[in-house]
Amino acid sequence: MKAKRADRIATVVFWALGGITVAILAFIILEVLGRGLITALNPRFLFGKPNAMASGGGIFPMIVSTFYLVALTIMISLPIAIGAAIYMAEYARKSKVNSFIRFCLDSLATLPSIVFGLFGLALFVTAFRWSYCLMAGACTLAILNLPILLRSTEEAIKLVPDTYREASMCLGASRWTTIRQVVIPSALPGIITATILPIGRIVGESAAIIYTVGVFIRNVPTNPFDTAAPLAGYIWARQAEHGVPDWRAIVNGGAALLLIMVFIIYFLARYAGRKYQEKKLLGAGTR
Amino acid sequence: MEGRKSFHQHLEDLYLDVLRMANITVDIIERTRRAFAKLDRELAQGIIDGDDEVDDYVKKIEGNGIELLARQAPVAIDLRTIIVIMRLATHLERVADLCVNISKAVLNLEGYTLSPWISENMDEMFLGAVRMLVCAVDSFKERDESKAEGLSKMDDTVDRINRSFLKGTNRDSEEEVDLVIRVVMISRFIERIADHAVDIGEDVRYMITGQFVD
Amino acid sequence: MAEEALENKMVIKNLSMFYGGFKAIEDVTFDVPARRITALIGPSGCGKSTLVRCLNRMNDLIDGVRVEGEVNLDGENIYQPGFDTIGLRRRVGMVFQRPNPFPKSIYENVAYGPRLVGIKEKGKLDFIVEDSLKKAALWNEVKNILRDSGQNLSGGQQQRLCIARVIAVQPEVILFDEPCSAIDPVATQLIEDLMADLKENYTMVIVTHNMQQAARVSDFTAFMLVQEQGEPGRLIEYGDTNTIFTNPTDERTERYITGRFG
Repeated sequence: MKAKRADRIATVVFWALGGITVAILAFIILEVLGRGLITALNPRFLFGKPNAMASGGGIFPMIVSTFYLVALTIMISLPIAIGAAIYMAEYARKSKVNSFIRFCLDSLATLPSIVFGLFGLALFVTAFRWSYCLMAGACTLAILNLPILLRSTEEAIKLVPDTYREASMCLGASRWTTIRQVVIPSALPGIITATILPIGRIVGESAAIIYTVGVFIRNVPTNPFDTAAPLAGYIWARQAEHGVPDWRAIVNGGAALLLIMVFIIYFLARYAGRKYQEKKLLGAGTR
Repeated sequence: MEGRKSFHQHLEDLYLDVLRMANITVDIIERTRRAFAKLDRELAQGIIDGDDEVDDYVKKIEGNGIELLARQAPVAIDLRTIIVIMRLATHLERVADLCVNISKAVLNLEGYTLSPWISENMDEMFLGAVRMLVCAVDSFKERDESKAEGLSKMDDTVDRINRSFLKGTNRDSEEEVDLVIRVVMISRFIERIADHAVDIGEDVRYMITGQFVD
Repeated sequence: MAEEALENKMVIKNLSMFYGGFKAIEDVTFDVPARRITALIGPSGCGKSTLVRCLNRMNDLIDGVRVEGEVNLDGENIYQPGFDTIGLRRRVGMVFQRPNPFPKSIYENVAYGPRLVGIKEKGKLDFIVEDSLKKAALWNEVKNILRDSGQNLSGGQQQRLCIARVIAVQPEVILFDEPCSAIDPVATQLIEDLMADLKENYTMVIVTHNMQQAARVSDFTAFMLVQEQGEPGRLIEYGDTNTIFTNPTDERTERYITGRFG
């Protein structure tokens, strides 16, 4: 009887904790969307140029900056992450080198992002004389996200069953061929999913970019070495400076937009991962 | 879908072997009949010398049968077929042995002349035994239960002649004792050949129905 | 059973294998005759799977594995320094315990091996795929779904796909590591029939925990045993399958195959 009662209490407690988590999440989403959704969906806001002083400015260049930054960062960090993950998962399992790398990465992951921002400022912006630009931010964010991206890529590669590797080796494939032909294609859906979390962080990151990319522009950036202003940084700047009369609306609208963008990226990545699994891997057929 | 290809192939081989052996055995009885009818020494000696062929078949069939039992774990009709094939081979071997015994007796009958009564009755007995063995083998080959059942009736004729030899030769005091003993022995051997045919019939009925015949 | 001169495809001489400091198998010597099926039987953990993986050097992929003795393939020791292991694995293929088709189409699974050796021409690949699937008795079931995932097939079909994938590489020897332990009896039957058909062209070694399977399919049987826990697995008896299953020489073999232990 006692055990049964304890069980019931535990059930209620855990259910309640779960409920609270969901409630908080729902509250944040509703609050952000409630305050900013109308502004965010206004075409003049969405596609307009920002004003430096006057009210009524849009945030289109910031949206472009954000996507641009995400794309650049992933392009820089993913190949490094996959390469390193292959080394760690396929070649250096259980070795001392592996645990040393892991220790370094874990340490890197605990650093606050402002440190990365200052590092990026010192190295890319100043020492490399790149000035504030997308490339400097992308490089900084690539380093910032490397630990988590590497870890989840490594997990995705490790999830590929050993039986695939054995089968491939038994057909006379070398280790590298096996990795290229069997392991990577099998792990790709997992790797794509693994990039979702870093993308969310890139979109939402402000501390690391305000010192590397910039916080205000009027025109859409085209060159990777153009100064830009990703949304999160712009929101931070408007909130901090109150530079335009309608800064409150811009901040709220920007936050809602940021949330929507994260959702869109998330679902796109999920969709892409699943499509890849269905099509590319299986439907090769009699090509 | 056809499963266990190699097993059924082996079973088929075993089946063909035992049929070949049966043909040889029937042929031996037939030759024994002629050897007796003509008191042909040469033919009789040939039967005695040729017994190895039958023995080789028994060894082969038993060896392969045991291998199939050990390796293929046969069940149901396959199991009964293998067991009956192995018993059939044993029966046939005995039949061949009995023919060897008869042939040896024939060798010892040199110089005697057989009365027409003995010749006719013995010939009928031989033919009866051959018919029975052929019928028994056919019942196996065709899986025909009625043929197998008919064997005990056929056996009655052989038994009757066998008994008449025991009685008839006693009355016929002209015959020499040596001859009488040999003829009675031969008659008895043929009667046992017929008994083997009946036993084969019972085994075949077991193979077909799965029920033991008493 | 017709006696013809047996030519030995593989000759295993005094083979021992170590995982680090642990000796897994010790002093194993036996022959693998060409175009025959040799079965390795024994209780679980007796080293039979380990042994079969020595025959195409799959154990090399595990860290800390060391091998002593010889495994000769056509008279050449595959453990001699500098021996081409990739070429070896093309000559000595392997089918595993669990069917392990790649997450690719049926076609791509079979074409994988040929592509590795640089065959790119579509007509040639089509021919190899069809031929291999036919030899693996799977063609009729899959000829219309070659683009479907190999992993959508049933377990038994997957295993035959794996056999087709090995055949496509044109090996000389095929090793089977408990190929039927994860599939149903009907599928098992199909695989056993398939092995009997493949005997014409391939030398095969099968590891099985199912003694009856060894009795049914193999021509020669090797019985392995770990006598005391912690000891290495040793070869107790090797001989033609009929003798092993009707009149084994060693008492331990007799006790194992009659189900008195293990």
